[in-house]
Amino acid sequence: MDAIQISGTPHMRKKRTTRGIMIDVLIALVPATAAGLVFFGLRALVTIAISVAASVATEWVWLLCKRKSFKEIWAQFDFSSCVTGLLLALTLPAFEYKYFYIPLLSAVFAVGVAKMLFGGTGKNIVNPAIAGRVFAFISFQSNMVSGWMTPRFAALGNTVQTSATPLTSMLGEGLGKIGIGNLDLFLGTGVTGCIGETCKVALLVGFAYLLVRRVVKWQWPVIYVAVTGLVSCAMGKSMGYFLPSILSGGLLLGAIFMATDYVTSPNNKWACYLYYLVLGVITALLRFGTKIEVVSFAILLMNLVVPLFNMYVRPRPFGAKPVVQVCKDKLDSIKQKARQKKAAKEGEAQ
Amino acid sequence: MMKPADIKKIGMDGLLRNNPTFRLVLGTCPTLALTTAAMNGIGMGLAVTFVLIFSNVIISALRKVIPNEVRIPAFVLIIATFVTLLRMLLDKFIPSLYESMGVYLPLIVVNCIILGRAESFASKNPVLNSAFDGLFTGLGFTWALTFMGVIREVLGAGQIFGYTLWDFRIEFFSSSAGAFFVYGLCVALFNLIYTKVESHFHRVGFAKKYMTAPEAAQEEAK
Amino acid sequence: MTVKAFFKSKTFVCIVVLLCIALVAGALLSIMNDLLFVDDAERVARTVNNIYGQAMDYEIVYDEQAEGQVIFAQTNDQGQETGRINNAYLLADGNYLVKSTGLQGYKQGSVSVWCVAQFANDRFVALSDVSVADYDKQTLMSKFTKSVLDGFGGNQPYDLSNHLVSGATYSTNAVNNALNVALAYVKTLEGGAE
Repeated sequence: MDAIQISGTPHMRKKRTTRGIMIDVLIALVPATAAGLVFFGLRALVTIAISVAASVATEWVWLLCKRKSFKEIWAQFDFSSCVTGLLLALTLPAFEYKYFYIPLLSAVFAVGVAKMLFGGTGKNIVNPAIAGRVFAFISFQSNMVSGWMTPRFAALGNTVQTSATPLTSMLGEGLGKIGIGNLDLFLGTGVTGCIGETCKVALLVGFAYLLVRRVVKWQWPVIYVAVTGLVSCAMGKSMGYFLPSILSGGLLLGAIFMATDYVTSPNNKWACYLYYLVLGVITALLRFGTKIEVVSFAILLMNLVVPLFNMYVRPRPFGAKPVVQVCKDKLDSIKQKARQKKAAKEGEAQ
Repeated sequence: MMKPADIKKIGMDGLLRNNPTFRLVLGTCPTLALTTAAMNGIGMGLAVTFVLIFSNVIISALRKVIPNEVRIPAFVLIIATFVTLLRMLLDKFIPSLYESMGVYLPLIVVNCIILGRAESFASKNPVLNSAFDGLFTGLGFTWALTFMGVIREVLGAGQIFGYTLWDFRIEFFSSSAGAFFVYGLCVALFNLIYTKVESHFHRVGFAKKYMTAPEAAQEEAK
Repeated sequence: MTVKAFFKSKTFVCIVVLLCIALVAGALLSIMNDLLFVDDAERVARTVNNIYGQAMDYEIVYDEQAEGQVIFAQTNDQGQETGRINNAYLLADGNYLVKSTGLQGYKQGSVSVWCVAQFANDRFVALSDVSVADYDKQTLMSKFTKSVLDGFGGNQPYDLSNHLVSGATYSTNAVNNALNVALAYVKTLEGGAE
């Protein structure tokens, strides 16, 4: 017989569970994963497999060390480490087989340090996939930079690619030298990059699925991406920067799947607006300042600032008057006092 | 005169219970900067030990003379004298260590360990006790730095004490981010082991004092 | 308060104690400084020992302090001094050991370097064995490890385009200036040293 369930108010039952949300995210990532496999082949499959296996294994080993039994762990298992592993793999380039330890160690760091060490699901202070990616970037920089693989399908338009990725070409040498057309960037054909971030169509399909299942709100990624594009135009001093800067690099992947993580974004609506606005500004500024892909660093930075947003941008408590009404009331009371004064004066004068 | 029990207590305090790096979390700046290699850690630790012993001795000898209001400036003067002396000695006799320590050598003047031990121990205890306290606190600092240095060097550079082990390097551990990370993990690990051991000894001692013999044996077996 | 009361007060005792400590410490340090002073000759011997692994005889070719005035320096297009030679020594194996200072570093600071100018048949071959002697106001000198400095050898003019330590641009500028002035100087030593 089931144990008695104790929970806090309000006592409502809904079908949505953490496990359900995570499975939805996994399904949304399937198109991007498929595109990555098509473009980058077996090396991508191996990277993804190692990453996901290592993430799940780290979580299980950790929980086993805390002396839980297999049954308990399986009852609580909410596929969040699968999501972390898959997302992490999608932000890494498709490594050669001899660099297998890079996704392995990054996944162990992402789940073990950024998530389990802080208390498990819901208690992480930064997005674990981001933390793993930054760890890989700092530790294995030479392999990351030289590990780019040209994708299997050639570009549809003309390409003149000089350096590793279109983003670095654009940032380093200007808009003219990006070397690849917008359509190719959109479809991901002929674009070198990380496994999941090249095919934007697949990412948008996943985004549409998440919107339909109401896992993310449409405003947040749209604000982030739009602001990044606009500030990039301002920095580059031409409107031509808008589409390329949105469509290159890990921006769409980060905006849709990583910046909107519930645990590491602010609690209330106005704080979220401010958060994604600042995220967009910081991403664009850092991109032009450091000429490398900075989406992961920008999201990491803003994750750390989220408690500040939560503290200072407070939602309106239930039953309190909205701001507009408070102003109106104040105005009315001022007018009332003025009228009384006037009446008293006239009464005196008479 | 000092009893062996006193020396043992001061020793255990300096090395374990009041370990400046892992328990008191003092002097973190040289800890984070100079644990990239184990040899740097040893060098820094021994330099701090030298300054600790001599400054503790002098401050303890003058403890009745220095008025309470100016004790901090007086301590800093004395510590700075010995750090300058150390600089001169290192420049003359061990120039390689002098160069590898760089700007962190003059920073020993404001190292919180030395000021902290001066304030909390040397200014209240006789000279010989203070000398031993300086020695053991410095040795505690040294072993902590060496421990962290070995971890960071093996993982981050594939070397140990300058001797190359393998080619595999995780640059994260050589960077400042890795320094903070390893430091946090070492503090957690040390405190975990320390509290477990201490509670075991505490329980055994309590049992021996207050319980009957078979129950005490049971407690000890746990 | 009255003079007598001042002499009995706490403030006076504090001042006296601090002054005494400072005086005694100062005396001790000046004595030790005399005993432990590392003079130029010893620094040269140390550098030679580092490079060759053993002591070697040398004769002084140029000493800035002995000369009393700077006779070899370089300036850039804006007329600012970029570097000057401090010392030059002719080593027993025919090479020259040069100490030069490069300016225009971080925060207008400077870096002094030692370098060995390889000579064969009285012709200059290349600079080698660069090491940092001293620096002023530079904060990132830890990036100049031995392996990095080994890459600073050669006989071409030094420029940020061919020698650059990433993240320490200004300091590399100062090192380049020092090596450029050393390069220019050793070329004047060809064909019989003076």
